[in-house]
Amino acid sequence: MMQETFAAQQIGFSLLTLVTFLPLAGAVLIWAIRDTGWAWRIGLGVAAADFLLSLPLFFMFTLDSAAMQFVERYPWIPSLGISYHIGVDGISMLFVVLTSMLGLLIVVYSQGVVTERVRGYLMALFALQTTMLGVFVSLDLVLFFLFWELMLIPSYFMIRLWGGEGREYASIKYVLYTLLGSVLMLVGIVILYLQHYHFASAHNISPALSFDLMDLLRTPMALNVQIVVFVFLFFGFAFKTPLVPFHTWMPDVLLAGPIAMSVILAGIKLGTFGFVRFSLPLAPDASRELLPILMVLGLIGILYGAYIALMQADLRKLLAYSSISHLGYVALGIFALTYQGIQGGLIQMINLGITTAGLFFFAGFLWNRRQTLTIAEFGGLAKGMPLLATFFLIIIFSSIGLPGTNGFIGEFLILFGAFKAHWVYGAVGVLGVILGAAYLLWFYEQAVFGKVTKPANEGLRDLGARELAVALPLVALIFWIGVYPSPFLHRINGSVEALHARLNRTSTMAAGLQPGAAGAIAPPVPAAYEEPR
Amino acid sequence: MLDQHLLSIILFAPFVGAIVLIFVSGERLTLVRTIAAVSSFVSFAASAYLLYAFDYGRGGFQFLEQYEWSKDLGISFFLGVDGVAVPLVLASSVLLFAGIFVSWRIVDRAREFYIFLLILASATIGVYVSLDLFFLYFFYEMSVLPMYPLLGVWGSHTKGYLEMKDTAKRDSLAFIFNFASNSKEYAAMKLTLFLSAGAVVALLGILLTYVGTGLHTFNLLELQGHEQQFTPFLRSAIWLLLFFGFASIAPLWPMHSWSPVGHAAAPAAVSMLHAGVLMKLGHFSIIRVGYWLFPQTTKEWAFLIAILCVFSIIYGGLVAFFQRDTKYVIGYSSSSHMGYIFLGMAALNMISMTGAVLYMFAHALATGMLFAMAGFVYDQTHTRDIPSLGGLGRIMPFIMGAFVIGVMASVGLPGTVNFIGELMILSGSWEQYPVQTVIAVVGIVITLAYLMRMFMGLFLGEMDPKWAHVRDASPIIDRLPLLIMIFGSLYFGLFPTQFIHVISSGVQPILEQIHSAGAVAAAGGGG
Repeated sequence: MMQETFAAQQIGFSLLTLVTFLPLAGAVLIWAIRDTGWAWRIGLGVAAADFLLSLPLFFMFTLDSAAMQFVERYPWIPSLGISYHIGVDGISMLFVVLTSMLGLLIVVYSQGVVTERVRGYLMALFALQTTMLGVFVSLDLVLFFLFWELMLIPSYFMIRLWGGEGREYASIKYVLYTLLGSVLMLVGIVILYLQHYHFASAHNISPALSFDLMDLLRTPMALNVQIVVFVFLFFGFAFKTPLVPFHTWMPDVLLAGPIAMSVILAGIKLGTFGFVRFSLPLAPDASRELLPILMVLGLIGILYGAYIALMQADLRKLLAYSSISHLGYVALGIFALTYQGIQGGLIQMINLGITTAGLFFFAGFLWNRRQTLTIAEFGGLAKGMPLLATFFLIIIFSSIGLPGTNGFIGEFLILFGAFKAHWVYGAVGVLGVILGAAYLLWFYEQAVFGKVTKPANEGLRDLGARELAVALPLVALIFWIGVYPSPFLHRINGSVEALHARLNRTSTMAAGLQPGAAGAIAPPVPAAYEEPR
Repeated sequence: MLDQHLLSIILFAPFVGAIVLIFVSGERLTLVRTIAAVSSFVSFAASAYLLYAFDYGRGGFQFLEQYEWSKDLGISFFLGVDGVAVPLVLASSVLLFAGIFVSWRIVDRAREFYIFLLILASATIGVYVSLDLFFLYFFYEMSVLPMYPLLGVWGSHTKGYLEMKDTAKRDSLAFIFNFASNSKEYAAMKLTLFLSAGAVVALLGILLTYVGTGLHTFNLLELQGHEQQFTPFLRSAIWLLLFFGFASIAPLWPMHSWSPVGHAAAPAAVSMLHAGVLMKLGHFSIIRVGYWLFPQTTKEWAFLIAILCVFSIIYGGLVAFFQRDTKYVIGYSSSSHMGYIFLGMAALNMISMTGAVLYMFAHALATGMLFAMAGFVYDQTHTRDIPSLGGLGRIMPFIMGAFVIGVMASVGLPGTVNFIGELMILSGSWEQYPVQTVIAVVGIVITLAYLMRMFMGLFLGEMDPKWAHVRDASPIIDRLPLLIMIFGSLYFGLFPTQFIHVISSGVQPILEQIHSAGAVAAAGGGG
């Protein structure tokens, strides 16, 4: 069974619970205090505190380890096998830190932008942050589902109340699409639960009823059952990622929602995380069987997204399709099921959290100046706003995957991993790189280079202090990960190794506990998910 | 000592309150309301106590009280609860207590209103605690009859009816088929006739049972285990009579059409009790009588329940989507959710049935909340027509917030007790009825779609200036009922364990009987 290092041993207190629920506590505090000025101060304070508290997760993380760390576990509904079980491993830890960092940047950004119903905005933002953090740290499937579903409520309100034109349609579309995926995912969770029950009853394992990920990972399942589970879980994650053809909500929401929502939706990759955390390890044989279909979906996403992006006249829509295209890359990496593929997919998810978030922040900066994001309205921005132009270019280079930036690391690993699965995947993927460069550089040329064609673009002020405060950390990370990715890779490698080993076993049927292993959960086994066969 | 008469206290407190009210002058509104509130509170407190005093380790029927009534006919006044009845008794008393406050603003013959309301609630509790078939039927009928005056006198017409100018035509016989344009009198009539008809069909089944066993008793405990005395044909006939008779109040499709009409016309507190507990009488009675007395026949016919539940879920959901009237939306939503309970009942295993009973309780709170709020909006605006409303969120933030929680609960979002019930129903039903399970989850999305439509239509968007005078639920009288139901939904959503233990202890003996003929037991072992 997967080793777990408990928070009590590792750091001495419930750090993860604190990091996860601090934003929610902040939301309650903001609700209680009616003053808007204080709301901003509390918001900033809570977001900063959450980010700082998440740093020990990074710096005290045991490197090259597959174990779950900072684990906390309390019984919740024992009669159904539901517990409050949270922890982070190589797969999830970076997401937790990223989420808290983006939360802080969003508050900093929003203070200069949001003026109406500020308290409600911050409350929705923090509620959303807690639910997202909860998704990343949950090790019990019902707990995970709880956080996953609860994301819908603050998301709906963020889009509906603080969005722009088209927000009525976008908000309800987002919620309904995501819910459809989630309820189908729930069926998948139920099937896993029942499989465990049958297996545990037959082999006298306790507990027979369990939604715990650790227990479910030890339950062998026949290939056809795995495929059914994979398909149901797939819907939940595919809508969220979004994978083509389940992506149609995304351009609407990124266009109509507030910038904060775009940063969150495009930056925090819950869908692909779900695939890596749940679908792949719980249904490894099915993942291998379905590999060609999934890779093709990834490639379609890459090419379709890039192609449509090329034709967009509005920056947000361009970035939305760009996002879909980049997620196709992540899917390509993950579903290749090779070591570099998964590694690249994971690191690229983090990179996208930095890069795509950055792109949307900059879209926000432009919107605040011109109240439009139609590309044709711009032109020659570099002249009056050199700082903005420079930082924007750096982020774009990262998105394209220029060596020296974080994007290169992720892209390289993904393409390498995809090549290993089959050379065709890699070849088509490379094509996507070229298209990606095309639409982003075309945009940059139209909007930033050249002469100033519209008088409205003259005299726009360059990046202010607040905007720099948002841009600098992102750019710093772009270079850090791009030039010295080692600390990041060492933190994810252990878990990637274990997942890769699990995916490449010949069969899961005979694996798992031997009959007669009665009584309590088996003692911890180092590193990998199970004994090698 | 308290325990010996606990059920009598719960059952008779509202009834005693009604009797006392007869002697109070209708002018003294405060006194009338206080008496109603106090008597319902006694019942509520005692039911809450019952939930935690019930010994789920021991299981079986507890808090028994038996008094002989007619020796010749074998009727005794026999009270007792098992794990299945306890949540429903609590749901009844909670909704009654909340309903008293929801109705606080009624001034027109408030005394009579409360008398009928208290009798209605008493009677539903009576069904849940009766272990004698005669009294079960007695209370069942008694819970239907107060609906007639409650709807007919204190109800409201639909907008369509009010707008029909040609009064001769609109009140003619042909117009009874114009479903969305009904007067409150029509709704009262339809509901009462339908439910009485259903009750009579069930009565036929009860009498056949009485005669067929030859034991000259209506005592449920004594009648149990005599299934084999009936011929297979008779067994099935009785079961089907009981099933369709009781299911009409559930309301199972296709005998459901009285329900949305009834919901729409009823005053808020009555809708709360109607959707919250009256409809559950159907499911409960099927379990208490059909499952308990005819376990093998139940197993044979469970497939029928599984087929019909799908129609309830989908039909109710889709029709709800196109409704313009707040109470019609919630009414169809309720009948749709009853399909989930039937699914859990059809799968006949521990988890699904425990989930079904838990869902009955959960739904009572969720639908109670929604009807209370629909009623509040109606009291302020005097319309239930969604297109006429809109933008109310700005002036009614509390109601809007409570509505969000109501939607969360109805959809079964995690964090509410509805989710736990739903999860258990799905877990229990997947293996037997995978198709129905997938349809049920799709039903969840349909539910969100129409509830969101209603939410957006009521609270978001532009507000017509004529609603500027509308006030929010600020006084504690208006907030209290909602807070009680919200608290129940969320608290038990996070801590459902007591309920699960209690309900499982009640479900277990029933399932044991059903599966005892050597057949493979489905997923058990819970609790």
